[in-house]
Amino acid sequence: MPEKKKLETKVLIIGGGVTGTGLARDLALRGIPCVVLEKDNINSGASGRNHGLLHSGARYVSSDPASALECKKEGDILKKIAPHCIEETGGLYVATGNDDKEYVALFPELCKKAGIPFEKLSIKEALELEPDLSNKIVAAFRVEDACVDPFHISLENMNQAIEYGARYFNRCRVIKFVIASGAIQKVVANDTLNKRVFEIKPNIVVNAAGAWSGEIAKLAGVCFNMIYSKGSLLITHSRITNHVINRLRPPSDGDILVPGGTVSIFGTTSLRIDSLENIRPTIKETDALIKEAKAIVPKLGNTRYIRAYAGVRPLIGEQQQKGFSKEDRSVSRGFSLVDHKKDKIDNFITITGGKMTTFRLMAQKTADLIAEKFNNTMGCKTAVVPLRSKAPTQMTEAGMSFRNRPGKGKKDDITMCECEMISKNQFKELISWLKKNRKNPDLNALRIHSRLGKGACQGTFCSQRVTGFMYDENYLKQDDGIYNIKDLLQERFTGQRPVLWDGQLCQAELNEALYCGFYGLELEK
Amino acid sequence: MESCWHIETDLLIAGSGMAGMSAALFAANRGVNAFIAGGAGGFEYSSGLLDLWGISLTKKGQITRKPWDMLEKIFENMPSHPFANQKKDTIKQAFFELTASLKAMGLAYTGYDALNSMVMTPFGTLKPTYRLPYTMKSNVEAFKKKEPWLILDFKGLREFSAVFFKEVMKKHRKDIRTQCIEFPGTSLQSQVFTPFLARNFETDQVQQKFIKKVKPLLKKETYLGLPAVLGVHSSEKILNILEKELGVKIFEIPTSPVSVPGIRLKETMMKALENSSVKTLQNLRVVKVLKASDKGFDCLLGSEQNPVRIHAKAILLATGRFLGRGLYASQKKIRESIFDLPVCQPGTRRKWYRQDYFNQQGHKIHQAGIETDDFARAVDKEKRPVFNNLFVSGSILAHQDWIRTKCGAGLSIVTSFHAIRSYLQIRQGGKIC
Repeated sequence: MPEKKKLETKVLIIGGGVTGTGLARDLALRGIPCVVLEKDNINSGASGRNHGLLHSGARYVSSDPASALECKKEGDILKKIAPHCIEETGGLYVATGNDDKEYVALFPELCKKAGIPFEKLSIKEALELEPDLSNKIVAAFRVEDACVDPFHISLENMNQAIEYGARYFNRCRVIKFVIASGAIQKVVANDTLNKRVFEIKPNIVVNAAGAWSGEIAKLAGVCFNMIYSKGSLLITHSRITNHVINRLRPPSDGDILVPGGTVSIFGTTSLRIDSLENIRPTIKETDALIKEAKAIVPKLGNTRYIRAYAGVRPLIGEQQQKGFSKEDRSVSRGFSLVDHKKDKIDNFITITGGKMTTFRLMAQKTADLIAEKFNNTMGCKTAVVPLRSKAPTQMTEAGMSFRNRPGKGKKDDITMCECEMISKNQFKELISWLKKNRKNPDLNALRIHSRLGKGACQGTFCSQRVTGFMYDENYLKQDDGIYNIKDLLQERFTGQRPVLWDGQLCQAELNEALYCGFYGLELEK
Repeated sequence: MESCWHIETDLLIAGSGMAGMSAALFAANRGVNAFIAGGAGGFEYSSGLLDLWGISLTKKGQITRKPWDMLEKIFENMPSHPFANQKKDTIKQAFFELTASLKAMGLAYTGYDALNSMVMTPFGTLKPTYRLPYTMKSNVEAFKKKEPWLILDFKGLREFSAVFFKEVMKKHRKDIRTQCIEFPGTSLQSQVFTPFLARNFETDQVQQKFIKKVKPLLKKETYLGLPAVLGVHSSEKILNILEKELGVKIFEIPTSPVSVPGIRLKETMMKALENSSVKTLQNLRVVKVLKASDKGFDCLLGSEQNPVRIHAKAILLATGRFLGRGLYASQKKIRESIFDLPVCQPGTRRKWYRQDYFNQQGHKIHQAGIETDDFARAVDKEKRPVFNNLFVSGSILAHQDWIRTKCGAGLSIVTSFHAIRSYLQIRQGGKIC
């Protein structure tokens, strides 16, 4: 019999993505206690698997002008409250000769109507700003896009919430709701990290499980259809452009290039899938993306890619009924907040859909509904309180760890990861923080909370060194380290497989020669 | 085209990794006039162990101590494997000749005649190998004896953690102590590197300071293990001095790259080629072949802008796989980098790798490579030699997965031995001018 842990809370939030953590922060700032249960880790779903683009709104001016304006307003707020998570790169919209001329001609008018600021550029000006753009572009506009580190945002959300009294448990999968007299009385979850069972008595349950919210609703006997739309993205070895580059055409496959610190991210695809199992980017998607990429930035045809990743857009089926379309991108990217009172469950709320850029607003609307139920009149503070916790979250951003190197210059500090310039002292600080706040730090947790394994070597050198260090500091025992390394390398491989050719293939060959050829890890069971 | 040098040679060995360097030694021993050209050779990534065959062909996912039994199976059942047309005696001869050349230059190798040795790695795993540096002899012995060990690591060295090693070893041995010490003379350095430590170990002063430091640490231990940094050119001598002074058996544990035993191997091989019939062109890769025929090859080395021009009557292609740049993988296809030789390969990229990284069957891409005839010459799709005088050896060969079958060095040694002997045979037959 596994150990049981009982908990009581006002609000239980299911899902540790940007919505769930954003809601936790909102509630905590209003003084409403909450618990976040995440089945995996922070941002394991779509929140961690997107472009990291803070939309100017221009993308939605034609399909969804209301969403467009929402993006613009929320973007402005985030730039104010979380400037350390955001790089204000600005964005360009560029059209090639093959793109819809009518759409290009309409674009300025649509932006104006939706209230999205833009500036028309000459081709020469655009090429001066971004020399790697194709010289075959026929139109260019500048907009207020920015890039954001989604992990940094979610970690700040959660950590600030914790500082205001919220609680967070990762690797806890909700398996059952005990429902009586029209309300969820008890939520049962498997804590796979500590091998115990959670029994939580909440006043209100919020389903913020993203693509998994259909499955969570089903546990409450509520049915709504989710559309699973898979999007795959590619990460380049080095940063290609300074601006966000958007292809000026109605949203489609492979039309956005976003810089992210020292790398660039290109995407996405949109593929309807039936199941949430084995979500991974494919070789076919990768090749299709690169074909599109070359049209706006020719260099993307022969640059080195270090990995690919895929996320599932949580789109809501109810909207699908309103305006059914085969093209998932034309389904509204607005969000939906459902009070399941209508399904005869009084204390169950689902918040789903939406997008990264508008997560704060989604959290606000949800928290408003909850506050009303508790007669809490504090009001939302998330738009004015700086989104900054005391936790060492800055290590998730590419290229940031070096600048913020704690104890830099100290005699005993050495570089553990050359790709991302992370030092021993930084890992030391992160590990002790994790130990205090999260328990059992392993390699995977370090990867999530830092840039470990995310550079060009994808774990070849750093994983072995950091594992050694964790043994030295007594964080690992017996052969734990071997399995830590195997898990990390398998996880890294899934993302590398579609981009294994040229330089990255050489890297993979070295990795396998070392970990299989020399250490024989494939034989360790 | 202007060119500063113009070289004429009988044989150009393209590639200076394990295969190229072995071939150079075999050529030198036979008085062949040859040049060897290539990059750094990847020795810094090499464990320095000379594997022959380490994986069982009957029990899935298990290592084998009996390489010859496995080779028998290859001879019988795997006709396309590069080992298939070899004989046990020839393989032994190749290993013997190579290790004898190394020993003559001061780098002794050891091992059993019939069996693999199991070398303990820094991860506490056991690696089967056929020939190992003398300085790792006690690494294999210690594992078999139930005696206490002290394992050392050095402050600021990232390539080896004694605690990591000890913790994994716990399932086999309980009596292990670890100690982290500051390497003599490095008090001002926060980070130390394996080649630096090894070169420092060459001096009396460092050896004496090391002895002074370690002696009081030893209690009841009869074995002392440490990362492989016991010198570059006189490791055996250093080991003997330390063992005598400290009164324990000492063994090296190979490290993650940069690997000193790999550097020892390379530098010893280079030394063996001095004053021989084989000249070395270091850090010059073949970048272009201007003319290729059965009569010979006109090649540019170094860079196309400022090349060294060489005319060779025959070429031995030992350029390695992807990391060595012998093979090049584009998004669509695998190609051979110098001659664009036909590459036997598993179809589209989708077939290159499995989803499961650690699947014991391995990935198909590692079986890709160049096919050869019985005389080690590259062949076309009809299995005819592309040129009469273009030989191939080492990891660029098709139908082998050296990483998973643990046969890397052996593959290079054996196929290079075969290639050099084939070259001489063909030349004797008058087919190479």
